[in-house]
Amino acid sequence: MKLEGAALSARRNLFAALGRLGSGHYGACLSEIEILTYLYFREMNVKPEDPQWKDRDRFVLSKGHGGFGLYSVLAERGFIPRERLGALEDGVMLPKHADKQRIPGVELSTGSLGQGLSAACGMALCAKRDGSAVRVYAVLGDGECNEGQIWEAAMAAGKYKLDNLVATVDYNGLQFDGPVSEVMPLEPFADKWRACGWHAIEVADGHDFQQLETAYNEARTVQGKPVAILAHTVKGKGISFMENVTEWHGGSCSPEQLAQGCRDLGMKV
Amino acid sequence: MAKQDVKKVYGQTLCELMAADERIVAVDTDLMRLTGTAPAKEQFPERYINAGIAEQNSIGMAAGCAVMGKIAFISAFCEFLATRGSDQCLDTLCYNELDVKVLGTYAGISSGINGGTHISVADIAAFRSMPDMKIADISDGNELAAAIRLAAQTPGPVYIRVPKGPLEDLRDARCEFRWGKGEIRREIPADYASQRIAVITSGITTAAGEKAADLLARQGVSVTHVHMGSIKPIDEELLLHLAATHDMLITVDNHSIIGGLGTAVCEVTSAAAPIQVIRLGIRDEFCEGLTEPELAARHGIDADGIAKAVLAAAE
Repeated sequence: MKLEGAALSARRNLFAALGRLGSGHYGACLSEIEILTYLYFREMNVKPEDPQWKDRDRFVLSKGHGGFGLYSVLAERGFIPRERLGALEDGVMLPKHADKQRIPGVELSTGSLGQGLSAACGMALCAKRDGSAVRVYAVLGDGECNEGQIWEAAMAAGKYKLDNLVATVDYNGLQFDGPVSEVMPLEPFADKWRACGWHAIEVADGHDFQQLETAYNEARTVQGKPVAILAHTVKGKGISFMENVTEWHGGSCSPEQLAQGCRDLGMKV
Repeated sequence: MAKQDVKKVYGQTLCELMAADERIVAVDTDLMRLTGTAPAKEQFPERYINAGIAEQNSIGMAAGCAVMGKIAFISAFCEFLATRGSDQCLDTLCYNELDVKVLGTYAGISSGINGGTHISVADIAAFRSMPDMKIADISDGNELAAAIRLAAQTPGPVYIRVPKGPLEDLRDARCEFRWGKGEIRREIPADYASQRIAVITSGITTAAGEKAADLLARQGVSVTHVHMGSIKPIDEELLLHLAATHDMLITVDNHSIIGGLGTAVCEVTSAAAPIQVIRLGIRDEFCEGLTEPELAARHGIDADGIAKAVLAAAE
């Protein structure tokens, strides 16, 4: 129950914050919430009171445009106050793309797609070579996997047998211009990862904590290979008029839409 | 003068640093035999990464090492680091202020008969525009070693631009490399009555500038010659001094005249001390597949070309 509650609270807070910001990547943030909630509440070894704790597991949001999803889950986990999401600091709102300069707990600022997985590979390789138990987690967008650099990184992780690296793809099936299957088909997606030397796990419902738990537990048993978790999600999850609508990758809500979203999430309008 | 193989200098200096500091890692792009990192692979295999012909991922993996507290040196061709890898350098290295030292080889026309696709005319321009990126354009092996050592101690991203070489020694092994400090190689006598011209060079054009100054001296023409190894930050104080004490500046780029050393000099002087600046270099075009001396002559950045430009300006 605690996970469901945290995810709902994270959704509410990011929806309110993006409403205040005026626009944002609603769809991309809403689809990743359960994945991030599971990682920060169950899977990763972190200390919110000491974000720089040296033995912490490391997280990279390779799909940097999901920044507010990450900020909101970090707030739920206690890294930052929830009020920080919609607040100004030095006269500016938090950036839409994940920014380590402004939020403790963000390991790497990201935004230009395709780059985060490479950094995660370097982090995992250093941890392994240093004999540390640190595990490295990355979350990727499905559209992001159009980028060639993702596959350069995939080959390198396979070469170095990074079994302390787990890359989860937020596979919501929609990218900016339309369905992934039309813009740039990824299937057979799991086979692509396997061909690069990865262990691939499909999660039918990336919003179901039980299924996520099964996948991440399986990932921990894999030796000698990095793990890709392909988590099927719903873009815009939780907001009735945004779910599975390409155009809600990002955008601005009208006052009526903000009110409807609040009702959908059980918030005061 | 002795010549040094820059590959050996990089490999040896890197290994010295790796022996002294366990945080230092070397990242390669399937070029270890050209960049000189093979000794690092042999001596420190646990701190050597070869990510293959994949500049983007290589830069990203180096970034990941830096996130974990390492100091990463990555080497590849100048041309491809600054073009294919520029997004990774800008958004991952610079935006995150990561301790990654980017070492580009085969700078500019030193890539010679590899041809236009391999002759970097835009790397300085690209890296200069990246916030927090420092740039060294070294002119000999001893300066390269000093720049590598300084880079290891300098927080944040650094770009070191290395010609193919071998490079003739212009200074001894005790030389220092300092960010934001130009090196006055020779100075016009205070009482010199003719047109007072300062020639500003970096990288391979410094040896050419030196020879040009010798040629001119034999004809009774005196010039000031400054080597600007630190292109960013650039020595503003020295440039303003040169502007105040000379009639004209001539810059010599082993790079496009757009965005390179000459542009950097103009940016400083135009605002604070306007002075005529003649920029020698590659003129908004790709280079041809010729040898380095042939290219230097064709683009007017060899000793003869520089001397000719000085004489024309002095008329």
